[in-house]
Amino acid sequence: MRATPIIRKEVADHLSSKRFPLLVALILLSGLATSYLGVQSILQGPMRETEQTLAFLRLLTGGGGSPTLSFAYFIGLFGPIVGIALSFDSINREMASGSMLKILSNPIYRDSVILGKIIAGLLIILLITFSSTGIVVGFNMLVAGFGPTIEGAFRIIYFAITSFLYISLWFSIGLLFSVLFRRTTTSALASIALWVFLSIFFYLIADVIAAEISGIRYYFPSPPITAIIAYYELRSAISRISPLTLYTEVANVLLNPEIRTTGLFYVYAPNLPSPQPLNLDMSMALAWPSFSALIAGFIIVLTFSILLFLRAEIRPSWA
Amino acid sequence: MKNLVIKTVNLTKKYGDFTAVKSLNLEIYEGEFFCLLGPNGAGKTTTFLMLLGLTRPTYGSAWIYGHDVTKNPLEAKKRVGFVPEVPGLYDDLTARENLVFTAELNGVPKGIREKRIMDLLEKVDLKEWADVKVGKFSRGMKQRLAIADALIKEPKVLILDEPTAGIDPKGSEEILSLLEILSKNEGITILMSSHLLHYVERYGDRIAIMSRGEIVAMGEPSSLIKGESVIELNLKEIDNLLVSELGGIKGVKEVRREGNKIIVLAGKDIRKEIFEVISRRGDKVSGVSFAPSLEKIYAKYFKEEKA
Ligand SMILES: Nc1ncnc2c1ncn2[C@@H]1O[C@H](COP(=O)(O)OP(=O)(O)OP(=O)(O)O)[C@@H](O)[C@H]1O
Ligand SMILES: [Mg+2]
Repeated sequence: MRATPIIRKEVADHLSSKRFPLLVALILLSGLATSYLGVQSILQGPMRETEQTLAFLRLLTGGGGSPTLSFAYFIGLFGPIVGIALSFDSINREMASGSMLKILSNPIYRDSVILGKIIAGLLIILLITFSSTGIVVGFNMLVAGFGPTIEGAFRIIYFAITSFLYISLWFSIGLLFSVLFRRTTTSALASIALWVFLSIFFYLIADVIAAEISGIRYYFPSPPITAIIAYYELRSAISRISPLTLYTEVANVLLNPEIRTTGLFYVYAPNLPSPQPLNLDMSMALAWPSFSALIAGFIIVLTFSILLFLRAEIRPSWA
Repeated sequence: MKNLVIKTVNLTKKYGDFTAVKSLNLEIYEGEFFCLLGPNGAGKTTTFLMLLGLTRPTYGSAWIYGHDVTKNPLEAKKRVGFVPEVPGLYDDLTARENLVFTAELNGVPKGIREKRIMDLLEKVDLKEWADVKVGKFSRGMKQRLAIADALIKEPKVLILDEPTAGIDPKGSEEILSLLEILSKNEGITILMSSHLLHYVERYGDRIAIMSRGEIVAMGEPSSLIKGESVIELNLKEIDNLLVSELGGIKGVKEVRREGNKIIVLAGKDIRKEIFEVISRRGDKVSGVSFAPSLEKIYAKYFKEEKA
């Protein structure tokens, strides 16, 4: 394949860059630190086997202790940084330095160049997500003294795939900005701004919009229940625009078999048998809408960046 | 008749309303050393980018060895080595690593890659620098490495965009004599843009002067000089009579005074006639230069460009 030299060079560049060890350290250290805390708080006293499985999975989402101090939480937070760091300057830096022009004066198609960069970036993300998940899970097994069941192992693998997809979505956003903006500082700032907006401010905005639309502007006397439900449903629908919401939903559903809905309500009546943890298929069905939204976002943004790159005017130097 | 290597027919590039290259018709033959001269913004780089299929012409076509560059850019790129204005090498890689990457892009088989790279580094006199990071190189060294880089694919044509820009005279000489060797000994067709007239005159087989996207003069250096000649006389004293006498010589187009200098522009070589006038009058001439008129032609377009 014509993209092979590009892939090889990009992978070597990533692995030898100063960013790479920093990114791995960021993910790994937060993962190890939180799972250490989690193990301390969850594993107290003897447990039955079913409890063990649930507890082991919960270690990754911090279900026992604080939910904000968990491996999944930190990937949700820092994963975007990893993705952005791998892509925000990958096109514009080479356009500005003139190396893109030089590459393209050789017998290689433009699409091979950007595809090579994408494949290399995704390989690195795959490496980071799977190795860090593996290390954290291994560490948990070591400290806890037991591991997941087969089904639990599959849940963890699907969780790692979700993390990969989530970071790849941010990789494609960084790539888009690196095609769109000529200066690397601009594309870095734009990516970071979008990350802050979607990961932090977006919840506030979703809240304000939902409150406005559903007409809840007061808490006392209590508004009608229908308005409250409309408000919550609207808020969660809007917040699903943020990749962080989608990722958190999928991670939680996959790692907590007891979660039976991503919405507000789970219909249950006293005469029904008491709720059992979901099996893997059921959890996956539950996570599917959010998971496929992540895939769709990834593909759309990636396609945009490829098309824009193919149409970009190549000049000796962009700067 | 030699083989036609590069041919353009009405090659035109517009950016919005602005025409960067206007209906260019070029024919460059195998083994030629062809120089494109032009002030900033003349359209030299744009022409090169079109020849490599990197920018789409608005109208017209270009062929490299008979391959239409817009329909078949890869065929053109296989045969043309390009040395851009900015070398575009990776500073964090060594000279050798840079060339290995380019060799991979060109599908140079692994078995012969290493030898070809070392031979080229030797040719551009960078053999001892093979394993030094390019970030440490001087501009002249980078430019020579960029030439080696363009030669990796063993091209039949080398296109160089201002290869001596920003390089000192000694470095420029090195680069140009390297190009001369490539042209004379290896028969590589060379198309080069430059600002350096005196070099171009010496090395180029054919020269075209480009201004505002159009070729305004083209030919062998000697024929261009024959077309118009310029003589500069440095005199102790200048009187108006001398100016008018010089103006009376047949073929003189213009006589200008600039301080202690008289500049005579003529349609042919009139050195003899001028010396006759001066020796008859006995003027004290402290210096004479038969300026390469190309420079004046060029300067003329340069001025128009500024006006
Ligand atoms: N992408 C573009 N959009 C608009 N105008 C452009 C674009 N690229 C080039 N131009 C214009 O086209 C003209 C020709 O540019 P070009 O770079 O070909 O000139 P040049 O002869 O190589 O000049 P220089 O000596 O400065 O390298 C210039 O006026 C330039 O401003
Ligand atoms: Mg130029």
